[in-house]
Amino acid sequence: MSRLASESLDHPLGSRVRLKMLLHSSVCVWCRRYSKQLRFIRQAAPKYEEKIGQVSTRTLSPEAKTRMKAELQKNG
Amino acid sequence: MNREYSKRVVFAPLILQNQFVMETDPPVSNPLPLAEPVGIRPPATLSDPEQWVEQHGDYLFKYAFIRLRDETKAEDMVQETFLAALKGRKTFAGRSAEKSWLVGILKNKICDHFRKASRETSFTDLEFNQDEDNDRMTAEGMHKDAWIHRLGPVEWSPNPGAALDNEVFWKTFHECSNKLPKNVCAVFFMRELDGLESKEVCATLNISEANLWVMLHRARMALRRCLETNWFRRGKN
Repeated sequence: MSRLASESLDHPLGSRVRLKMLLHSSVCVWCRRYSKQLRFIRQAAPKYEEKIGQVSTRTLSPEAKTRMKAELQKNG
Repeated sequence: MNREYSKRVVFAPLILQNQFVMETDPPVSNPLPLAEPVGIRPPATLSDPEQWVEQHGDYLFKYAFIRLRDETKAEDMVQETFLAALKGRKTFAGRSAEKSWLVGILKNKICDHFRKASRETSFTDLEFNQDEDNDRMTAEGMHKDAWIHRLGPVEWSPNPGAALDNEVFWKTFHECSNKLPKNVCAVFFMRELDGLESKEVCATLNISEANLWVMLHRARMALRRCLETNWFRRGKN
């Protein structure tokens, strides 16, 4: 069931499978939560790009910056 | 400031683009000085390429590292991005802010890199999380594969959406996604950050759809569990 919940985000499932999922979900609170949480992750993920500047501590080394500036100048 | 900046520049160029910008527009050089105090530049202009490194270098590097997990490769990609941008700057139409434009170029470079890499070694990873959440599910009997109740997903409440504005949530997201194996993470981000269709991911990486779905399923399962443990249920266990 958890596999199908994920797959439903990647390709359309057949109508029999969808019906089976629907019936099962109606009695399985964990499955409903699981699907909802996967959808939350999907919705959240694109926003990660805006946050990368804050969450990652990596920076270009001064040498790399100097090299890149020189390359830009050379080719500009 | 960043957020303000992107909000303001996104829409204006869409209008400008069709109505006023002619094909023969001369290349634009420096932004107008009056843009400085509020931190926005007029749309459809680029800053001096030599300033790109200071302005966007670190962000692009962080981005590339997250996708590639290799410092040297990430540096190379950033440099290639700048050089490609330099070549293509006359075609910059101001459809997006400068930063998004550079990120767009970087994303293409990263995809190309994965495409080439996947021709040498297979991208498929069916090892990771092979047991999935099986320790949380009933192994046999009538309820085989059903969640063991006390170990099943908990409600992320009251409003999980509020997490999206919380820096610590994103730190958790960052760390959790970083725990995924390289290739699993790569397909997950191609699908969820780049928004590529399954078929496009498969064609780029030369993997079958069935294997892609398994990898995505396991990535989501692991990420979900990690977010639940370290964010939504933090301090409760």
